Amino acid sequence: MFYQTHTPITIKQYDIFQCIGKGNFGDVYKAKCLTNAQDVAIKVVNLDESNEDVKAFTQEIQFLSRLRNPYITSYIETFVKDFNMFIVMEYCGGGSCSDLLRYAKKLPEDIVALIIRDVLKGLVYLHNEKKVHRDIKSANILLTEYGEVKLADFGVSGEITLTMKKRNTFVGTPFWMAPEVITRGKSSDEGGYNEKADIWSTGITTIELVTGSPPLAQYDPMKILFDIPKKRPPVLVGINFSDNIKDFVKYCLIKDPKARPRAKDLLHHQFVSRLTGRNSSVKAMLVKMIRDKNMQSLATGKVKKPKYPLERFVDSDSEEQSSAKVQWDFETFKSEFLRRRSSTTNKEVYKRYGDNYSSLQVSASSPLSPISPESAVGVKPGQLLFYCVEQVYHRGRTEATQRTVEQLLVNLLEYEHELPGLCEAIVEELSHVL
Amino acid sequence: MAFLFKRNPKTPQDIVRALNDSVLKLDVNSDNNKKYQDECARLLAQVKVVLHGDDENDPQPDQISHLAQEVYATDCLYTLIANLKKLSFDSRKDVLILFSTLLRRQIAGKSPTVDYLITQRPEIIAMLIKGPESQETGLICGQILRDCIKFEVINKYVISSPLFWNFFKYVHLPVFEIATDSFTTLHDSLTIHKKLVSEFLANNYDVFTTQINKLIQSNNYVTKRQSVRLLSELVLQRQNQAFLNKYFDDSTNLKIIMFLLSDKSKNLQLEGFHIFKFFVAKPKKSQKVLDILAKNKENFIEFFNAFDIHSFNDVNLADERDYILMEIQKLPEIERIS
Repeated sequence: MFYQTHTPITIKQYDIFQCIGKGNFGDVYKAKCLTNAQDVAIKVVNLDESNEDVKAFTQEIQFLSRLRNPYITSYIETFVKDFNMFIVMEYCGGGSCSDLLRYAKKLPEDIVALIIRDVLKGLVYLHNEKKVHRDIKSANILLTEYGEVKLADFGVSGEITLTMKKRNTFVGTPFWMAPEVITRGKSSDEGGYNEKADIWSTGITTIELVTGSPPLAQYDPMKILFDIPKKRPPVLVGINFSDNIKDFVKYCLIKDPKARPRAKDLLHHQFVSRLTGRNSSVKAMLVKMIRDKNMQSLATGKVKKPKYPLERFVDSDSEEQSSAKVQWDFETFKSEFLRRRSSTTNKEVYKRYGDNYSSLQVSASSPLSPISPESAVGVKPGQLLFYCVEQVYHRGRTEATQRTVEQLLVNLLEYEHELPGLCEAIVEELSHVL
Repeated sequence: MAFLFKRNPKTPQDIVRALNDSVLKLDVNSDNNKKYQDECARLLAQVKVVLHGDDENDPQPDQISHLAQEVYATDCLYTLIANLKKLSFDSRKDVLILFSTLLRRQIAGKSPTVDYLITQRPEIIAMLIKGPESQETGLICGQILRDCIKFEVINKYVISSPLFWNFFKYVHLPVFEIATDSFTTLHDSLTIHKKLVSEFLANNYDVFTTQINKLIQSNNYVTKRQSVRLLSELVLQRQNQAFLNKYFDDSTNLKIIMFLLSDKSKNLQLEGFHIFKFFVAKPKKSQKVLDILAKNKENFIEFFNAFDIHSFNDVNLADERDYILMEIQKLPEIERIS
């Protein structure tokens, strides 16, 4: 009909390599698209794990697919296999800023300014699209090998993880959370928070990048959860830091979200705007740092272990989609047919039906059985054909018509006996056409 | 933006006329296409400022009114939707904003845009229904259409159209976001206006049931989950009584729901149960349904004793299961030919 060139996407079009991250809802893998040799990141989400309506997941994917911006990891496609949803995203070879921090302990102010500037650019776009990221932190800021900065992990992981965390136990770390997020709940339409929450988190992330950790990181996250709304906002102190960055952080961490500046206002702040003119030299520093980090992690050969084993979905081709644990018995239409038939005069036909039909129902050993008793578990396609022919029989207005249809049914049974699977094949073909 | 606006004192009418002209000039094979795309983007941005204002300007009701008049008079919405694919990615979102804002705009309790769509340009609605056939514009069309069907007259137009049944095909499209978006539209068009839907379901029992049953038996887990959920919602609507009476008397439906009960997926089992319980609880059951239930009495008892209700965190579930189990035990014993 349409998309004729677009064959259904399957796991077979991707060569999956190692696990590069894990989340509550599934692991992220690096993979290569076999059709265009592009590296991608694939997030695998098990949809049957939670009772959440699948709508929550599909809406997020729809949202992701509507975002196109250089400062946001781009969405490629999604496919479903068994219970798993595979979300294919752009791959960022430089890892996350949190990886970089683990390698470098803390980052120089210029590099932080560059990263934060691009985060703000991503936020301007996102907020313009009426979207709140909700989870800005170094682990969700990705880097490419060329020093590009991209926001990741909103939507599918962000939003869903947040609602899930609310339901189950609180597993996230609240160091980056704006005070109003903690006190007012989830979204702005519940009188909760808005995009200004991302600005707060950006301020915390700035501190994280330049010092190595967010404020209060030494405390129990559950305890500070209650402290953040009560305490005064954190401040960046120390002679190592410029006034610019201290001032920038102060603006981000204004407690009243209404007084807190927007992303597009902050782009004019000295801390980020003074990069103009020095952009390429700072970027070169960042690229070198990323390369060194990648070399080191290659040398140490650390591989993340997925939470869920990969084989679970890769080699499950032969697996049956749904295994009927219960052997339901649906023979009524046949037995009814038999009952009705027995009252008519055509005893001979009845007998022939009787043999074949009852063998369906009762004995596993009957050599006459046109369809195996195991398949009588459900309305198998083949049986559907018999059923339909029977319906046609009932529609026949004259005795002669009915006799002909009856004959057709008898013949069908015989042919099916000779060529088991024949009726199923016919039904399959019919359903293709329909 | 304010000084830009002053330097460029175009009236809303001018903007709309210029937009129509530029859209009609779009041609993917032309060298100037990019130029006109940019021109359309610029004009649509101006439309947006008229409708919603910007940092310095608040929207002016009289300006909006002029803009709307010009849009209807020049069939601008038609032009935009018919050429949606030719516009740039971001411009398409601006078309959505224009469309939705005009839809919501009411005069004396009525939306002039709705009147316009129904009486003058129903072709636009037909184009929107067929939106999922294009990968580039499917999502935008879906969103506009869902804004449209919030109005009962348009919802009625949509489900009465033969094109409506296309949605049952669109939900199988290979592009995940288009398929699921189509499902959202299908869902909305059958759940928002309850009375309208109850008539629709009563009049279209056969076609609808065949189609939804096909979706429930799909191999795609997401399609399955979504369609069972939709059916559950329809089943819970008392207005749908006429449909429900037929649905719960039809043994084909019972079989399909029983397969859900024995599905590998826990969630599908649960969704299946929430429909299955009505087959059992219905006071006057059809002979065919009764036959199947009675035949599987032992199966059900075994199944419900093993039914893992604890993983669902639902306090009512245990009660419901016990009730259903009790009803099943009351079923007559069937003599088996063996």
